Amino acid sequence: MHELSVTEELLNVIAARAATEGIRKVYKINLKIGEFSGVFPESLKFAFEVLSRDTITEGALINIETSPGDELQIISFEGD
Amino acid sequence: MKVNVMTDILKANDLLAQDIKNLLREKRIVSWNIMGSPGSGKTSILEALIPKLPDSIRAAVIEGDLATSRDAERIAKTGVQSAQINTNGACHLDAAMVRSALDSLNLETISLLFIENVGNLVCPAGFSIGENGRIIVSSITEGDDKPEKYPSIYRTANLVLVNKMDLESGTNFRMESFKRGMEKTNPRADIIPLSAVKGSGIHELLDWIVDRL
Repeated sequence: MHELSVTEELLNVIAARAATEGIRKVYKINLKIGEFSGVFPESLKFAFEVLSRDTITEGALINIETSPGDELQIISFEGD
Repeated sequence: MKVNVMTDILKANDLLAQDIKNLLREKRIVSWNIMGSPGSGKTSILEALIPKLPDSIRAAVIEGDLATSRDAERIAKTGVQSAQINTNGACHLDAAMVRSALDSLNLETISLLFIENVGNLVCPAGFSIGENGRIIVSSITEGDDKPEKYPSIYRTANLVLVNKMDLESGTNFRMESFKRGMEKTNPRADIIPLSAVKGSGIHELLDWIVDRL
C-alpha cells in the first residue's frame, strides 16, 4: 500500500536512535510485520533499498518476523 | 552493537493521533473516520444524514481526497462547516493532515465530526487519525465478498453501512453472504443497509450516531 511512507518513518526512527547511541553504520534491522498491517514485506524491502541510499542504513539487512495481527514494529537494529 | 527499539514504526502518527483524540475529548466532540472504496457513497451518505440531524447536534466534516475540493463543496451546501484535505496522491489520511485541517474549523460550536478518508479499502486502515471509531461504507455493486477480501479494514470497523440497496434487484449481491463475511472478519461491527439516494436506512444511521454522542 504505502510502503514508501512507512519506510521513511522507519528510517527516521532508526536515524534518531542511532544518533543517540553514537552509531554511524547500521548493518541489520529486525522488524515485526503483521499479516493485517497492510505492509507487503517485499515492497518494504524494495522501498528501503531505494530510500536508504547514502544514509547510515545503506546496505543493511532487513530481517522480518511475520505475526498474525496488525503489528508494524521495529524490534531492534545492529550497527557500530 | 545491538540496540533494542521495540517501537511501532508509525509511532509518530500514533502520538499525534492521541493528541487529536485528547483535543476532541476536551471539546466534547465525537469523531468518526469514514472509509470505503471510491464511489461507495461516503459523501452521499453524509449529504443525506446531515440535514436530518436534530438542531441540538452541530456537525462538521473533514473531506480527504487526492485532489479537488468537490466533496467539501458538496458538504458545505448542507450548511455545516467543512474542510478539505488534498493528499496530492497519498492513498490515506494521516494524523498530521487531520491536525492541520482542525485548525480551519471552529471546534467550539460542534459536537460531532466526520472525517471522510481517501477512497481506498487498504491504506487508511493502518493510520489512526484520532477518531473515536470507524465507519466503513460498502456498496452492493462492489459485491458481497469484500469483508473477507479486505479484512484489514473491515476488522477495524464499529459500523458497516451497506449502501445502494435501491439497486439490489440489478445485482447478484446477497446480504446473507455479506453478513457471513462480516461474521468471520469482525462479528462485533454493526451493519446498517441503506440507500443514500432514496433515503432508506438513514434514520437507523441517525439513531446509531445519536446513541453514541
